[in-house]
Amino acid sequence: MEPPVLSARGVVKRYGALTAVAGLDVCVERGECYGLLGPNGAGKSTLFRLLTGLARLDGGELEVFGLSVREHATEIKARLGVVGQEDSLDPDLDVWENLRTYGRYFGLRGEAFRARCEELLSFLELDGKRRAPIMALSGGMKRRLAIVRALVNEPEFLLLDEPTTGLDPQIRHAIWNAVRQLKARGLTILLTTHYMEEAAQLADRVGVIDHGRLIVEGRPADVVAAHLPPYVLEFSIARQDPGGWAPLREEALLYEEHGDRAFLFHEDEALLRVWGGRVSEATLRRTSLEDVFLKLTGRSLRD
Amino acid sequence: MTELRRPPPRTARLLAVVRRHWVVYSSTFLANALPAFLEPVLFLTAVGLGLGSYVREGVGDLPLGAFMGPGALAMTAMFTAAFETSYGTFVRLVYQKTYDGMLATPLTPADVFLGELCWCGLKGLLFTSVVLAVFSAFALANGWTAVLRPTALLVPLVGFACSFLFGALGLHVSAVTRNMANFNFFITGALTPMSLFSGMVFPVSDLPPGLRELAYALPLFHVTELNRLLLYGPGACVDFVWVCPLYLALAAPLLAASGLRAITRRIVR
Ligand SMILES: Nc1ncnc2c1ncn2[C@@H]1O[C@H](COP(=O)(O)OP(=O)(O)OP(=O)(O)O)[C@@H](O)[C@H]1O
Ligand SMILES: [Mg+2]
Repeated sequence: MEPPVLSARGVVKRYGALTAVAGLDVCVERGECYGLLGPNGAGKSTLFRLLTGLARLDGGELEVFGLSVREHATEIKARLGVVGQEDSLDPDLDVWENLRTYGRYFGLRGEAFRARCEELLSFLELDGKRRAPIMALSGGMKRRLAIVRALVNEPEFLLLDEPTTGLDPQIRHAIWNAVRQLKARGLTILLTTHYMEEAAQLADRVGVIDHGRLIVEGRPADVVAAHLPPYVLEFSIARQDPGGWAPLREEALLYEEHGDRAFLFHEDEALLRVWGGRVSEATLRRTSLEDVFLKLTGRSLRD
Repeated sequence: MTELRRPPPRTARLLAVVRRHWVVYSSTFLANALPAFLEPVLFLTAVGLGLGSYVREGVGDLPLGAFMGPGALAMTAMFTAAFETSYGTFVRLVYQKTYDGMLATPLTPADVFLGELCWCGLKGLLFTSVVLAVFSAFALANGWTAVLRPTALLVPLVGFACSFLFGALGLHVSAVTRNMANFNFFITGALTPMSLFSGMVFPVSDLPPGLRELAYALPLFHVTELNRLLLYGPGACVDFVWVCPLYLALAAPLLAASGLRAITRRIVR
């Protein structure tokens, strides 16, 4: 049987007194897109650094393609595509030289390789930018170029650490589109994001990690269904008559509060609609991954 | 099932790193090479001719300008490498995150930094060749070509070793530096004084005992003395000049190994 593309068993990583990854178990199967969610400092990027040999494993087993990162980092990285959280494009080189130079690190050159670079640049709509210096690129172009660069070696497994953070909606959709196409071609993807909608759109399965540990995992819809009733009525507490909505708290299947926002969860959509008439400016919607995330990872701010 | 992608062999990975530096370097060739080349030319002109006309007797059998050639050649190779792996490496490491990108490929930290040292060596070889050509023209113009030996053609190889060694030293400094201003301690505080006490402007044997032995321990002394051997033959050198190639052959790989370890420890945590 083929080993999973990524297998983490009890992975531990410490930085002095801080345990950044505290016994993480994650498995990603071939062809799957796995969304890793978690608050700031949860340990997502640390897992990526462990996978690329930029951090040393303190405990547990971490394997990619069935090979341990302890002994086979170079072999693994030859088959990996990596888009880091921070842009690590080479600013001393222009767009085209970034790709050519990166290719050489994989031992790639020649006509077929050039053609592949051209194709990838047009895939992410960067054709016109071949000779542009990195400094002259916008944030969205840099991120797309980082994705292009991660694909030059035709990886089997693509790591995307917050690929759309800080980008405008158009670029975000363009990147989602690209990820969907890559997935359709059979690429295995591990993605981290703070946008729950992104995870719900792209990931076959999501895992939420907190304090370096996996706390839930499953298909996005299943995760939502397992933790929350299907409907939620959301409104601002400050805009309500004091006391007017208080009884609803008791009647809801679940009540949550995040800052000024109140959330009343229930399986009965009609009932929530009636309640909506009793509070002002309420929104009735289906429960989302974001609601689950807030519930599971708590209200306090991280970092 | 398609063929799995394999990492390229070690030498190909090193060459890819050297090539990266070469591409960056050659794209700004003039700005990079001109000052590095002008500096020793101006230095030789000003000190050799200007000062030389006061110090008429020269050093030993050599006019002052000729005496200073080996040291000037050593200094060129030393500074080009020391700048590359101090300021250059630090900027790539901290500000540009260049190494994060490189290390996401089959390259290992050892590939990246050994490649960087090889690049330093190559740069030292190139710079030394150019300065050697200028120096020879200088010798021709001043009528002392007769003292030069054909072994002078090997001096660029010493330039390679010298740059490799000082590049490795720079990696140690980059591995512990938190703030770029601290490189002043390395360049101005350590290397510049070293270049004055390594037999460039006056023979190290003229130093008072104690200081003299200290100078004998400095790597730049050995580079300078080896250059002098190749340019003018053993008669112009200290009598233990045969130690110099041994010193460099031992010190360069040892410093490289510990430099790689130090910088890797900073990056892989
Ligand atoms: N090199 C390091 N030295 C010390 N602590 C570190 C180092 N790298 C990460 N950490 C700490 O490890 C923890 C996990 O960090 P990590 O970057 O993995 O979080 P993350 O889940 O990626 O967060 P974000 O969503 O903000 O990117 C944080 O508390 C961070 O401060
Ligand atoms: Mg992160």
